[in-house]
Amino acid sequence: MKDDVGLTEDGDLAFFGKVSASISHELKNILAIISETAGLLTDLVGISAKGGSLDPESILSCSDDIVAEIQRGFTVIKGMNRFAHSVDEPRATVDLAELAELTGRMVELLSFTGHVRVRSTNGSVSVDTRPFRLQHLMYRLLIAIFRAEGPRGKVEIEITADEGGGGTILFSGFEQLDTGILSETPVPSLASSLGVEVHLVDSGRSLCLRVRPLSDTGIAG
Amino acid sequence: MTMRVLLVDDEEKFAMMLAKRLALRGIDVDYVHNGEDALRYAAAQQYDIAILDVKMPGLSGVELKRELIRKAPGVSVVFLTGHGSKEDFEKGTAEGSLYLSKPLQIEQLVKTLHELGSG
Repeated sequence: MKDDVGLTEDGDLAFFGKVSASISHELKNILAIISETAGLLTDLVGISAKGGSLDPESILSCSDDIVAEIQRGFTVIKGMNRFAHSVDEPRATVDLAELAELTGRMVELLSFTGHVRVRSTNGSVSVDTRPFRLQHLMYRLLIAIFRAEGPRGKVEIEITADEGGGGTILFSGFEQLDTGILSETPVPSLASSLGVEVHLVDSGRSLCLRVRPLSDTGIAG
Repeated sequence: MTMRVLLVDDEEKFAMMLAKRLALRGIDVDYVHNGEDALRYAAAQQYDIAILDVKMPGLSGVELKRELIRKAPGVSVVFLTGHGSKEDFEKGTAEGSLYLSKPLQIEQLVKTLHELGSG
């Protein structure tokens, strides 16, 4: 079987598996809340059947909670579907903000991470790259940042267009990072396979990824 | 004597719903959403049983169990897990803890709590 995306390289398959596992864990949490809320509804009706009073507000609140959790489940599944399809094309022109947003949502599912916020400063920035591998690179870097920052950390990701094509992905909002983050396996290998330059700026308080179009890097898609 | 139960789960709605359902069955539960708050509660109040989610930000359920037992050796621990495997269950049982999988069977949990509370 042809492995277009190269899932066997640089822990790509492990990354795919880890994201899939964290999604399944999130879905199970959602189902557990729905199950307990439905159980509480049953309890309340049971009390009413035995002559107790039935508070309409409690019933409405349970119903609202179930609807909210189902909506949360739909959002997780939508992200899961987009992530699963990111291996369809080994090379594609993608919106960097959309890719960073999706990666951020996947990272937020892990128990030790905090919040990721993405913004574009000058409109949509689309780049010809290897989407799955770029997600993998961002995922690894975000995990390394949260391991240093702890679960209450917040990471801002800012996307800007570069002159002459390509774009810059700037991670910030954290304390000073150690340069060791840049040499953690498989960060150098992933960056090299994408032609992406990764470096720390602002004395380690920001992390910069310069993403050039693959056609400018000489790397075969 | 009324048993004192501490529930620790980072899914806030889950913890709230479970606490309400246990209260309807005569079991009063304090609930918190992370290990640090759990240790704070345990320092102020003696609990008979701690129900701990395994996967949480900060202290994991397993790390929290060690800390709780160090501070209150008499506390019994029940783990809740989204992905309970047979190995987890056997390991937990061997260490003196029980593992229950989410979604829970409430009557099974109540039975377990009463057994631990009377033991």
